[in-house]
Amino acid sequence: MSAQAEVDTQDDRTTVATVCLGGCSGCHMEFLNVDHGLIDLVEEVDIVASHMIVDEKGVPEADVGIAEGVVTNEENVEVAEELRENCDTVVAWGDCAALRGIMSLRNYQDRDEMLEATFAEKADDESEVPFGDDEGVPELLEDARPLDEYIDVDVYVPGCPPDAEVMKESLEALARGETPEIEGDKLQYD
Amino acid sequence: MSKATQSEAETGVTLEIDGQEVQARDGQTILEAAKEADIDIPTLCEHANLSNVGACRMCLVEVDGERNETACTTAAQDGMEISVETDELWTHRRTMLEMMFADQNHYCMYCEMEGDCELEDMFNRAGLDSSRVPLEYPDIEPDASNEYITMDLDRCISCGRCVRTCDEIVGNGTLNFGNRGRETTIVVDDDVSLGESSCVSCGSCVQACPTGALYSPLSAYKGRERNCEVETTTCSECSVGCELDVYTNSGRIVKIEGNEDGPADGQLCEMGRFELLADGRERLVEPQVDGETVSLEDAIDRASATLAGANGVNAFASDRLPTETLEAFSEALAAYDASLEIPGAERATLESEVLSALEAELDVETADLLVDSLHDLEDSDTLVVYDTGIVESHPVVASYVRRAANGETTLVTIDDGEDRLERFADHSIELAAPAATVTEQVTDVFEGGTEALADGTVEDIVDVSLQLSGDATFVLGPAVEDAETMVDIFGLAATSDNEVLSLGPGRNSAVANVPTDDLETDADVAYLLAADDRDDDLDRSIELAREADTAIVHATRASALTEIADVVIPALDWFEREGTIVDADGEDRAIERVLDPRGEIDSDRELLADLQEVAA
Ligand code: SF4
Ligand code: SF4
Ligand code: SF4
Ligand code: SF4
Ligand code: FES
Repeated sequence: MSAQAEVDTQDDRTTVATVCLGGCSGCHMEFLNVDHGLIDLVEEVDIVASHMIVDEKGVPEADVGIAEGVVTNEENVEVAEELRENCDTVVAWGDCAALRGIMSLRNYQDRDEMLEATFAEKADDESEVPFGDDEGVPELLEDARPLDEYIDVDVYVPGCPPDAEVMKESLEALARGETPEIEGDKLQYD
Repeated sequence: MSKATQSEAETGVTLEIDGQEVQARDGQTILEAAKEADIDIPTLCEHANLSNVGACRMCLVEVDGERNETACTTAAQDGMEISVETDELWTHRRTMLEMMFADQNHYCMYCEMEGDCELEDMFNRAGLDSSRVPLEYPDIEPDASNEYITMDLDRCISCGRCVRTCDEIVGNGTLNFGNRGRETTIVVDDDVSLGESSCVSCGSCVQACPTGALYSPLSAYKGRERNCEVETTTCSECSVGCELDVYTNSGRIVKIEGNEDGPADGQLCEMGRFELLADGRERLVEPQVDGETVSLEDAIDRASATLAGANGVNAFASDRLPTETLEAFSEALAAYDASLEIPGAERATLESEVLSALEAELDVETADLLVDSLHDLEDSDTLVVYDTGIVESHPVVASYVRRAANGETTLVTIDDGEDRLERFADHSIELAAPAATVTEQVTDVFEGGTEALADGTVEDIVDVSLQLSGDATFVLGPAVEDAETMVDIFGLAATSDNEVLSLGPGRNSAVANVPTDDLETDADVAYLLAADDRDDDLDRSIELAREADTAIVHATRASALTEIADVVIPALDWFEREGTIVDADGEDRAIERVLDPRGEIDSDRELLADLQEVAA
């Protein structure tokens, strides 16, 4: 406890918030593959929000804001905008956020027909499409789009998912105040 | 073709590419000169053996600091100063790549080409990590109407490599560009599906496509090319003997490609590229006697006892087998009272009889009568194809014929059924009977031209078709079976100082040298070395098995034949065999083992030797 307190008092680490928009959490899962490296990493960065690591539902202010996934529903738009507002540098993690990725495959189908087929026609007679004003499920947008069609993005780390090592290195670069160089083998599309 | 030939002026030019001094020959493009100097200029639409069209603009280079040109279409000139790797050029390239990405639907993570894709590599080199061009999401249906080739234009970048391959290499002209500008798309014939089109399913366009827009479901997701090992062997599906580059990964064949440096410019046909991979019949691994699994020794003993006790043995061997195996079979049979049939042997024997008779009669050398190499077919001024069945039986030769006909060569086709080359023929003649009668006068009618064919009766045509201009080559397809036609055609070639390419039904031309016989009518045992035969050849084995009381079968895979056989001995598959086959040019060609045998049989030949030993 005292060690923790010590870190807190003199904490000049780079703060990082990550969010999962319309994604499969695959990028976040891959990030966990940084594995033991995470211990070194947290010496340089302070992860203030990340749904698999930290119990924080909102988008707190942070030096670096990372988003996984496409912008596919109304909530994603709000979260993306919040991320832009609360974070100095915005990073698009993975093909979905950077280049639209597999999550945009739904764009080839009519939104309403797809919802009918997915919800109403799948289960029993009672099932309905769970959207609407008071349903508590955010309304799906017409299309799923990459992050930079909604907010400015500073750094792109494509890959489905990107390599854990590439995610780690790019965070380390950001912590040093550098722009990560994602090129050569580090630049992936699969 | 843009490739400057060595013989072209050796004068040469000197230019500088990214600071390096490079020597080029006159007529070479900047790209060709760079390649020879091991300088890597990025390309997408350029491809081995194809003409250059400057479509993708990846090879954009800066010339003398003042203008940008595509290196694949610009001739190297003395004193040129070329830049390739500048930031400005890479910005251009990246913009072009973003347009390709945005125009179509690229999802590398589940694309079959991922890891081998030239476009993906180029995205990588250009550092494409986002798209500044708005994404389009066009709705494009993949075309899966062809059993072996899927066309998914979602991933097409309109580089035209497939179009040029089908036109320039395969001579078939099935693929074209439709629409213009950003709407440009690949169109099959008059906009039909690939399955309904004139496509001969050779797969050459699949090999040429840099992206995942054309792929074979037989190879999809079996592994990346760059993780494969490659073994080279010879196709034994017909006597053209194309070289096969067989890609394997963890003991499994991923795909077969043609050798782009070989005489056929990388093309193969449906049989060599796809059908060899598509044999889904169950593999036989254990010997069986009367439906029960037995040891190999017991199976051989039983086979040998059956053969020894037979009143007569009718034997049949697949002509897909290497020469050494056919010889071993023939020797093993010598110990018994057996007659041997091999497909193609009859035609080959007849042909050599006709040729030796003509040698004596007309004082010509057989060697002078036969073409040196089937790969030189396109050099003829006139081609006369007797039996257009070569489109199915010897597809790569048919492609040479098409290419020639698309060029300067006059093509005369003679067939008694459907003319499969009619679209390409200058004169298509429907005829079953012998093509001509070699008389003393026939040489006299050689002065005319094929124009005389325009309006003639069938009989006129028979004669006039022989009024060939320039160097002619007669191509004899497998349906030519009678001595009279052979005498006519070889005789005609002899008297007119022309040559013949004979394409018999035999896949291994060595069948001409393995002693064969007419089968007996009352043999009680059928001994069938069917190996991986299918279709007609398999049917022939089944027929012989049915006629006999007892059938001994060497087969690679389960079939109607192995169901009715009394003794079944596993045989090697095509990719496990070793030895030689003789191609249509009479050359020995190597059959290499691609994968180690899965069953307990390591060698068909040793097995046959065992059988011979047991008999002795
Ligand atoms: S064709 Fe190439 S770039 Fe396009 S999705 Fe496939 S691997 Fe990616
Ligand atoms: S498979 Fe062969 S014939 Fe068919 S379109 Fe491709 S190149 Fe042309
Ligand atoms: S299908 Fe392939 S080879 Fe043909 S134009 Fe498209 S990308 Fe090029
Ligand atoms: S033309 Fe003949 S040898 Fe060539 S791939 Fe086809 S079947 Fe094989
Ligand atoms: S390679 Fe030169 S323009 Fe495509």
